[in-house]
Amino acid sequence: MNKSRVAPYLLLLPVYLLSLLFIIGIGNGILQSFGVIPSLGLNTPTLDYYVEIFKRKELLSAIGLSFYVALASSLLATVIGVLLCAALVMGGLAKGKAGQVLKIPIMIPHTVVALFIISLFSQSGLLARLFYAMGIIGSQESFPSILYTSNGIGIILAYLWKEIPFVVFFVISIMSNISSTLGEAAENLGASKWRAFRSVTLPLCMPAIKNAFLIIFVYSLGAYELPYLLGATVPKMLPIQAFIEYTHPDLLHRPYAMAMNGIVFFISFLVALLYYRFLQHDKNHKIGRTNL
Amino acid sequence: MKFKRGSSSELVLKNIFVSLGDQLILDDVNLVVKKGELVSLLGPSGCGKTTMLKTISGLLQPDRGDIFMDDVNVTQETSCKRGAVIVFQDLRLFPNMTVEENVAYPLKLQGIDGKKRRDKVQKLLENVQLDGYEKRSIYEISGGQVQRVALARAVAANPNILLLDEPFSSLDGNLREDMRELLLNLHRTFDITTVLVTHDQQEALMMSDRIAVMGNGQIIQYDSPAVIYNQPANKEVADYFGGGNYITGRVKQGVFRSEQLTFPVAKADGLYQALFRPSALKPISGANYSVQYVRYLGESWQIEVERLGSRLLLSLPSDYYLKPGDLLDIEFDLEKVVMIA
Amino acid sequence: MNRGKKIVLKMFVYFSVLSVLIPIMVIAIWSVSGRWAWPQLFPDSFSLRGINELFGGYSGAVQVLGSSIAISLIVALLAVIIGVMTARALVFYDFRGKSLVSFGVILPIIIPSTVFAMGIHVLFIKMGLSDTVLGVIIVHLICSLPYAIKIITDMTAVIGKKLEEQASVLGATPGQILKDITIPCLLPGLISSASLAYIISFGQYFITLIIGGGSVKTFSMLMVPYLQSGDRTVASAYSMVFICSTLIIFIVLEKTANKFNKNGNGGFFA
Repeated sequence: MNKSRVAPYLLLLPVYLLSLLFIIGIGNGILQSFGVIPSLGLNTPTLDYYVEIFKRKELLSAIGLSFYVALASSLLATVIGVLLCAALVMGGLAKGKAGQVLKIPIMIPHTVVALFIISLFSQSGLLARLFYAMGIIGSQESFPSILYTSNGIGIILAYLWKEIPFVVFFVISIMSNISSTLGEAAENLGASKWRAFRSVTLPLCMPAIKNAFLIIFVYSLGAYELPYLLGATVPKMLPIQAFIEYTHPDLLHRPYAMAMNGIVFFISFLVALLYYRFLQHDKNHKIGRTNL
Repeated sequence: MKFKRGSSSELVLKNIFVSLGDQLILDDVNLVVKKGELVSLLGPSGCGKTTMLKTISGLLQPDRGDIFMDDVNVTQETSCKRGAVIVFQDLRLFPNMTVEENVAYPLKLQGIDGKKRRDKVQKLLENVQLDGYEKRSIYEISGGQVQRVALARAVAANPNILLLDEPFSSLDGNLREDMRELLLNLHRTFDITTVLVTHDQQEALMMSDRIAVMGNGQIIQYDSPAVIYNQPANKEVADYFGGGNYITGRVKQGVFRSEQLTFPVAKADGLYQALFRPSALKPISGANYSVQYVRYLGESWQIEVERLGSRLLLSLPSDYYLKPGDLLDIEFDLEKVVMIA
Repeated sequence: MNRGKKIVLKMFVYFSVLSVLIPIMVIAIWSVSGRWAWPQLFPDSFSLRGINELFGGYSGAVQVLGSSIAISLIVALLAVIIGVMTARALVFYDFRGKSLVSFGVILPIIIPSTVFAMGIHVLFIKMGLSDTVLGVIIVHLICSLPYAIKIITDMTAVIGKKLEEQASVLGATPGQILKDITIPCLLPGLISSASLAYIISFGQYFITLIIGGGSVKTFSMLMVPYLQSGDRTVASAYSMVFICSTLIIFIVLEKTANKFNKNGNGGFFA
């Protein structure tokens, strides 16, 4: 390790500057969520806006819906993603064509994914047409509405399409490393392939898996695009509601927006601390490297 | 006087201290390597050999002390200007370049272009018997060939001092012999001042003009191979060359006396250990010693004999036939005794 | 593993592969369909209406596509440069607050962009950066930098200083080492980072909307109104152009990289 005095700080200068913007931006938002906006003559910090959020029904249901969608989509994506990862590793398919194809969703933005979901799952979508052709449904209206509903199924499906591949590629390099070394050792000692996976490979991949889950959980909690394009009019999800308050012509609505952001921020900051802990844990155990 | 890289130089280290973290690695090292000399640094792993090479090359700055090349103090020169080129143990070929490009790289850095560069690369590859491998990727050549490329590349850099950090340690027997031969040839051809780090005493003995034996960050003894072998400065150095049978005794008025034997020797009075290497002992007929075990080493037998609890180790040509339990006597070859104070 | 289990395993993988491919194929068909009424399984007629709308003169889509690609390429380039600098600081130096920095650089992955976008927007208005291309580039950079830093830091740690030391003793100056050794050796990681940063920037909708304020138009923003209006042919045409242009950029990136690295195997699909 080098101990030069200025070099590291010079190298880090751009990151420091960007971090400064990032921190001031977030700090600003948090400050406004406590009702401190000097330009509007609001100077006394207050918790009123947070309290009021929990009183207003549409805001409360926005929080509930966002949590439900984020949790459901990221849990499902993690479980399916890990299984798919295992299938790729155990079937020796990780480096083949299948692996390449599964990378495609990472490069496709959420807006386009929304279009995918609409053209497949809307009441005039391909699936409805297929059901009609097979005689399962008699009319367009009898296809269950999946999109723009308060059950959030359309949004969850869209997140799954994006996030399962993300989980796969977050976990696959470490999983194939472990599987080809320690997993083989376990098999050599007499464990079955599945047993070796469950008792050796999977536990050692856990830090990476947990981190993949955390990333997609907070992402889907805070992201705007999919709820905007696939969500119901009522209730709205958290980021949509926040943006409505933010762009409200009456600037006095802004603290509500910031307070909603504040809630997401505090949750994601806790998640970030957890993430960092898993990352250090991963490093300390020298298991291998994750992709991202 | 300004220092210039590009020709074989004399190297002088004066009172070099180097620490890494809180640990003192080199502790007051002094060393003079004459122009064109090949010197081995010999010592156990962790004694500071690699640190010494890195300090000479400028990759590490000494805490104190000075480094001179041809009487110019180069302590403050950066490594790229110093011209002390290391061939590292892990060889470090550039993976983004072919065999040819690796060797050409230092020439490119010297501003040698076009045909002149191509010819030089060709010549160097011939020198290390690698002509025909120019366009190979470094992943397409064997371990021994990687070593040759690394050597050729180092020579291409036109070094003032060539520093070799156990470059052959990863090779097996025959290949290592070849590489030693190749290095000696290169050294003869280019006459480059060379420092070879090794922990192999045979290698040090056969290759060097002089050997510096290191231990605990210091140079214990620095002399020609013959002197190091025959007159080791202390037991540590002697042990490094295989040790043998130590007999403790006292010299008084030119005579060494001990329980086992007494002989005249030209040494000052005091406590000594007389070292008889296994080959300095010979069996003669008698019944004072009994054979404990016999080990076959191909060229020779290694035999341990015992008398009243003290054991001696012998090395005998393989036409001797002894077995455990045989009785014999021992003749000490006084010509070969090594006296250690 | 017996054969039955192996078949289940393969079916699972192939089902996933199909789930990825089918929507893309459906959109590809939509983008060139004229009429595709309920309940037909295939389009009644094909037309180039979507493509024409896009490349025709009125929409301005081609110019926006160009400037969008330019913005995202700049973001990718900056992410790679800053990524290399940060990686070197984190891998090769000890300094005060090192663990804080390595924690700080991952934060933008975790903290949703909606949260920091509104906060930064307020700040950017004061600094005169809102509604500007520079402002958009800065927020895109904040979003994509953590990935670039992570990839390049891992790679820098693996490669270490060894080859740089070797080049130095062979007589290479720090500048020559950077050009001849460091960058070529890091190239696969640099290409992956650049590709990832490009995707993240190119696909941003919300954050570009809020910081760009409508005066900085990117391709994503042009596409969304068509998604909402339900004109599937045009929306699909935009989506296909989006996907194809991204693929072309990746191929160009890889090809350029391979020119500089003979053993090269970088890139998104490597």
